[in-house]
Amino acid sequence: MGVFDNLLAGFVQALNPGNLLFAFLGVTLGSLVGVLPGIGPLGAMSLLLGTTFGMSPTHSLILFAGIYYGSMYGGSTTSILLNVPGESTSVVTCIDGYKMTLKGRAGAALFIAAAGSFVAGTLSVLGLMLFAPPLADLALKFGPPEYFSLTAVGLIILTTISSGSKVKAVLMVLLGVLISTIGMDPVTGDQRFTFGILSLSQGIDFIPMAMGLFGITEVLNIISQKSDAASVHSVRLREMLPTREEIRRSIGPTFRGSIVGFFIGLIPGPAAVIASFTSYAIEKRLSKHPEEFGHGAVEGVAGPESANNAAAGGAFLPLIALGIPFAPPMALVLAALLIGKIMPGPTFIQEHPDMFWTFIASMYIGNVMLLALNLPLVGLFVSVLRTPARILMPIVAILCLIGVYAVNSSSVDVWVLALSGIGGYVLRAKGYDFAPLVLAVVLGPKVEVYFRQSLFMSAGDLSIFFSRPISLAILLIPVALITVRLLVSGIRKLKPLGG
Amino acid sequence: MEQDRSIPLFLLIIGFGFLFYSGKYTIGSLTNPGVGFFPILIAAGLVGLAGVFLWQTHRSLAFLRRSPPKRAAAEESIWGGKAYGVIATLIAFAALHAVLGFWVSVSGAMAALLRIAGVPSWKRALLGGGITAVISYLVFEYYLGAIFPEGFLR
Repeated sequence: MGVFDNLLAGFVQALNPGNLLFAFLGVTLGSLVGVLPGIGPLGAMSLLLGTTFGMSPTHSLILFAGIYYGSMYGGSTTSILLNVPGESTSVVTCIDGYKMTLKGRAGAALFIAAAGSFVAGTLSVLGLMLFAPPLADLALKFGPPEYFSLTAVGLIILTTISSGSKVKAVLMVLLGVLISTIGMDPVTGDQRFTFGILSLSQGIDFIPMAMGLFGITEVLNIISQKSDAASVHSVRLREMLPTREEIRRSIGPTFRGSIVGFFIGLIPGPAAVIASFTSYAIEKRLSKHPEEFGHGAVEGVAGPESANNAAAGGAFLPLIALGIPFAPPMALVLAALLIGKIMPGPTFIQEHPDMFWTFIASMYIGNVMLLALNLPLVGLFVSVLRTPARILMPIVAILCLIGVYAVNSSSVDVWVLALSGIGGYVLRAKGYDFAPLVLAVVLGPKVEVYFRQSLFMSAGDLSIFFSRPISLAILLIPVALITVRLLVSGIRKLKPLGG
Repeated sequence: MEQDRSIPLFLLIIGFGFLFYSGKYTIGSLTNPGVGFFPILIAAGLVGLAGVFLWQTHRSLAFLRRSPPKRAAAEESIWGGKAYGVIATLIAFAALHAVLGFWVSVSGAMAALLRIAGVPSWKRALLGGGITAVISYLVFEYYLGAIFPEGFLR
């Protein structure tokens, strides 16, 4: 069957009432958590992970994907109306989005953000659909050295692009990898660093850790602050139509943002955040009126909002085609699939074509649902923001405690959640980024297994990582990135000299 | 960059701990790496990097000490009564949920968190805690079938 026959079959499956319901639930929850500062897609997915035991893997995949890309839509709403980003991916939207609100163009900004997100979301699904099968075919040629290079390079890139100090990011990666070594040795099955505690024999799960670091830390931060409910600008439906000029100016940024976002989405770490900032920088550079940026330029909303949505779609590609989650939410999608006894990776599309194509079709449908939900019901989502923090934050903390216990019925997980939350609160205050820590806990066991298998294969010869062409090519990626960065900064320094 | 010694020092201690315990497992060789091989490599990396970072921070702090006003401006305490309250509630929940029972603990923790977050009276907070426990029980245990500790109610 060709791509379009497969996609048609996927649509037939995705339009079945059960799948439609989970897509709707996913995008609605995603929009909601996107709107609420403090509760990200990661927190929502962690809380719902326990419920996926009773679901089919297709339903959990559709639900979690909906939450992830739905949160990208929701995040822009608070950025535009309140100057408070619901998600880190919408930080850059505050700059021009909120200025548009102050000029009385809030409705138009919301419309452009939603329309751009829809176009980008749809294009990124197209990219996923076209690139996932060939990448999976290529990955069939991968052995342990290639996978080691890929995961190790992923962690290296993560440290270079994470926010704040690079040394701190490397420290977080090393700590995460060490934490991942607690429990059963992935090669021999021997116990390590468990000190006879039975509950530690399965290792430290990244889910309570991620919930603690992202959920409880946020609760601690918000409760410690003095502000409570926010004052919200109201938007009427008839005010939502942009002018012809605004539409014309947003078309180019939307398409450029979609392409840039999809490819940046493939890299490990906070790709959606980087995509939105990159798109903003590109639009400012290409604009005929760069002086308008920062004062309500429509391109400053259309580009970044398209880029972060496209990046959300792109992030699925390494997971589906290679079985490697390069972003914390993707690790939760992986966990949900594993609960359903499905292992994504190079053979996933061949073994489960129905699931893959249903998932792709559901993302198209989900994007249409998001457009329908976010434009007319923006007022409803925004009204959630009026819930006082003194009510909302205790609910979030309690849901984290219940959700984390529900996943594994383990008291150790409750301790991990509490300690990660407290640790995260301190780390954030000292300027440490959590994303490298969480991803290192997820990727750590893979890095170790592939490293040791490669050494077994080569009888201890480390040149195996450089003598195989695919592995070498992967290892050269960070070298190429550093070279490009040095060249760009060199050119920038030379420009003023040349006048 | 934040001038702080506590985190690199903590990481240095953690690194030494892993380094010490990794040595108790089979290290093996490059040809046949053992259980302790990979952790010892990573722990050595953590010790080295945390050590260098700690030394650099120590030097910059020594420099800052000579200009106290700047240092005072750079430091801002994250610790207040509310943060301590939330942390105490989380630790109490983790320690007591198996003994008291999950839903009793949820009710107590919710009431405490509501009070800490600013709900004006204990009466309202306890009511909120009770309602949360009942709804959570119905959703998670009754409807979704998850199993939680019953504690002394067993």
